Amino acid sequence: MAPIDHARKNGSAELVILAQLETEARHGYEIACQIERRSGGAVTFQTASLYPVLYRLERKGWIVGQWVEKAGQRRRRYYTLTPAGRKQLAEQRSDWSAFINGLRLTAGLQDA
Amino acid sequence: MPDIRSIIRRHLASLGLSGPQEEDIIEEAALDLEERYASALRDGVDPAEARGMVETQACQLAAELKTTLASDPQADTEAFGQLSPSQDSSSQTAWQRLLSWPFYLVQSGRHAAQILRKNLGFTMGATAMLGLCLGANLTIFAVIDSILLRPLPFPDGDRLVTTLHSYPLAEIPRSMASLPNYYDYRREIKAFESTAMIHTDYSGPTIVGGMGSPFKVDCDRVSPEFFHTLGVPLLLGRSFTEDEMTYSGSHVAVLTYPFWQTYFNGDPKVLGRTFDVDTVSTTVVGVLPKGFSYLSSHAQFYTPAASDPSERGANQRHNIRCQIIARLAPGATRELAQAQIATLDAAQLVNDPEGALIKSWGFRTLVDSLHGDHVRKIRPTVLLLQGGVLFLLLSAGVNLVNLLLVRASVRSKE
Repeated sequence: MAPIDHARKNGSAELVILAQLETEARHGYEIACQIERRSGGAVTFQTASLYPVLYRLERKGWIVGQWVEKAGQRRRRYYTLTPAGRKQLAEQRSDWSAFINGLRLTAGLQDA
Repeated sequence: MPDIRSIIRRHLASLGLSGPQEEDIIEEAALDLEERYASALRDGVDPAEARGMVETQACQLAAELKTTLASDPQADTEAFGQLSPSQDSSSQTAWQRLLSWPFYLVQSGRHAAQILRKNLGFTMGATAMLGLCLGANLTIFAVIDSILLRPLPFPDGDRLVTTLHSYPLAEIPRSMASLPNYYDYRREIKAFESTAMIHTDYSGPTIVGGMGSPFKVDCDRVSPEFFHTLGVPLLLGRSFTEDEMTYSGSHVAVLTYPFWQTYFNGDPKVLGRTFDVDTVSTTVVGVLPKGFSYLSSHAQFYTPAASDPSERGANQRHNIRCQIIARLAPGATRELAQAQIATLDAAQLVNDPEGALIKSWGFRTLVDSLHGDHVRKIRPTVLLLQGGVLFLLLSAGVNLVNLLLVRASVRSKE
């Protein structure tokens, strides 16, 4: 699948990243891998685009980053969803669902 | 694997992030890029291309972060993700800036050390070059300090002066003084608290010891007030008397401390003992304190600057064979002493049969500081040397800057 263009990805970046943290804390590279795998390669986050979004989300108080050291591994910064982030994820999901539904109806989108 | 941290650090440098914040971003992004780099290699990507990817990502990361900073300049600095430039005065108090500068210093030092370690050859070359130049500067400055800057090692050394004859029209701008000058000045010049002289004609090497074990040492012939004028009290005994300033009575000596220790084994009853000086039995009358030495003289002992009345006459006033030293009286200045000597010279020239000839040479007497006169000849050489090594250091600095600019221009594309 061809990668989604920059503008469309940017608009949905916060939702996509928040969604990866819904079930467990992840570090940045893990988030990027998870997104690529789940999207079948359609959505990718390079280093340059991933971390500014993570820092922005943290600044907004939706996620919290914490350095964690695990035995035999280098320490990594794991991001966790905050209650505000969880609420924001639910709101964005709802908004995007409505938007996509509208697109489907108006632009003749089909389910993947 | 390339040094990804350095690459990121280089790109982030322009953002001016605070130290801990920047370190966290570098560490986190480096971990990410290292994994991507390794993954790219596993996928068969050429290492150079993978490194290019790292450079591109680091560059874009810096640009993205810059945009993030610009979009929210009021960001809170408490949390990691809440970026703000460290130079932003609106979000950082003066107190915070004050507290954070040691960190920046350490961080910058560490960064510099890393870069220098990576360029070990260049670093060692530059350090050696600067080290040599600095060493040369320090060495010459140490010479200047010990010779030109430090005062003479005598009490109130700045009040010690010397008088010099000057015959500029005879192309003799500075010469020593004469024996009659010494007797005239100590009697007539009130600006001098004490006047003394060294008889340079007779000072120098002498043969000490009797038959079978003679050896050569330096001896200076001085006037009785010599040690008093310098402000140096004797350790033992006394200085010379006026009676000892004649050839027949001058067979007495004041020993330096080292000579007393070596030749007389430091005998505390040395006063009155005799030793042979140029085969003449000479009696010890005094011992100088440890550490005494007069300017650059190597004299091991001192004897009276003996003369007979014929050598002290008016016709000997321009027979220059003595160095006169004097201590200025309290409140007196060199200018005052100079004026008093000028008056004396003028009066003496009137009665001098050769007065007209002396005048035609433009004769006058100069009063110079003893220290200034002592270092006068070497001063230009030492200052020239210092100028030379300073220029060397400057050249080294300029060359180093040029070298750094050349190296920087090679990396300008980066």
